[in-house]
Amino acid sequence: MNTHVHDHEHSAQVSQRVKTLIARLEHSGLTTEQHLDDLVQEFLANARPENGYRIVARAWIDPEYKHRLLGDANAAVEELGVDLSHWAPVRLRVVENSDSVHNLIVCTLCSCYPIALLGPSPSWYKSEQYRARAVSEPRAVLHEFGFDLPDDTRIVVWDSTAEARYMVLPQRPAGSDGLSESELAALVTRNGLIGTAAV
Amino acid sequence: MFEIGALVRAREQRTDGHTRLPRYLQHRRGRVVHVLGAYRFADEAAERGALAKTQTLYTVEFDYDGHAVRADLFESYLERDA
Repeated sequence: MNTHVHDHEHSAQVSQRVKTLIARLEHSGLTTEQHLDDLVQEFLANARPENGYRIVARAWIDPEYKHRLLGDANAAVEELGVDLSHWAPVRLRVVENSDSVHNLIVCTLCSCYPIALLGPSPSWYKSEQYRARAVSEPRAVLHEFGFDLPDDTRIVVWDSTAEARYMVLPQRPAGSDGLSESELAALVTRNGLIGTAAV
Repeated sequence: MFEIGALVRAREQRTDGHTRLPRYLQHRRGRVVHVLGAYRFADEAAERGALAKTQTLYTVEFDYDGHAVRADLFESYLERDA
């Protein structure tokens, strides 16, 4: 059985479980489907990758902001108006790429992801293939994303196994010196913040 | 308690229930690189919710051929590696 089919069957099973759970909760008067939809809507309304792009652009132009971001990301992203209240106990950590180190984010156990900063995760991030191979052969995975690192760059894979969520701070691209903060933000991609692209 | 730089080994998974210790790391040697602080122990929280005790959570680095994996592991998942 190939992995794609397996993933598909697995997600159908999960959907069925969620439906059953919601039906039980409604039946016992604890919530309604509408109430749940409203909660998800409210959460997702402000959870967009543009949050991540703005944070990176600010860190590129303001070394003191970058210092705060790498030291206490929860406080630093709230400075820029990103609401983390839905996430109460979760620790946000931003990890910085350099010429010698490249960071890659994964959750091998499920699909932990900094949704408040990046929006809902792409389907490949949740696939069994990515989750298994990111920790066993990251260089090959990056190659399949069209991203080849120099041989002497050390890859650090962050497996989001517990109460922390990770975002990558990519290196500022060469030749971007004259750009404004919003122009810099427009250079950043979601994959750059996961580590499957350079920026 | 483990200090930053401590050499540790991930224990064997001993539960049939919920755990946040990935199987691929069990028995592997690593090094503590960060102390995240006290968090509700996930294995216990899955059954007892807010009644679960807290444990110290560590970021542990494991060396692989050509790369490193860092994972956040609760204290009881780890033993000191002599």
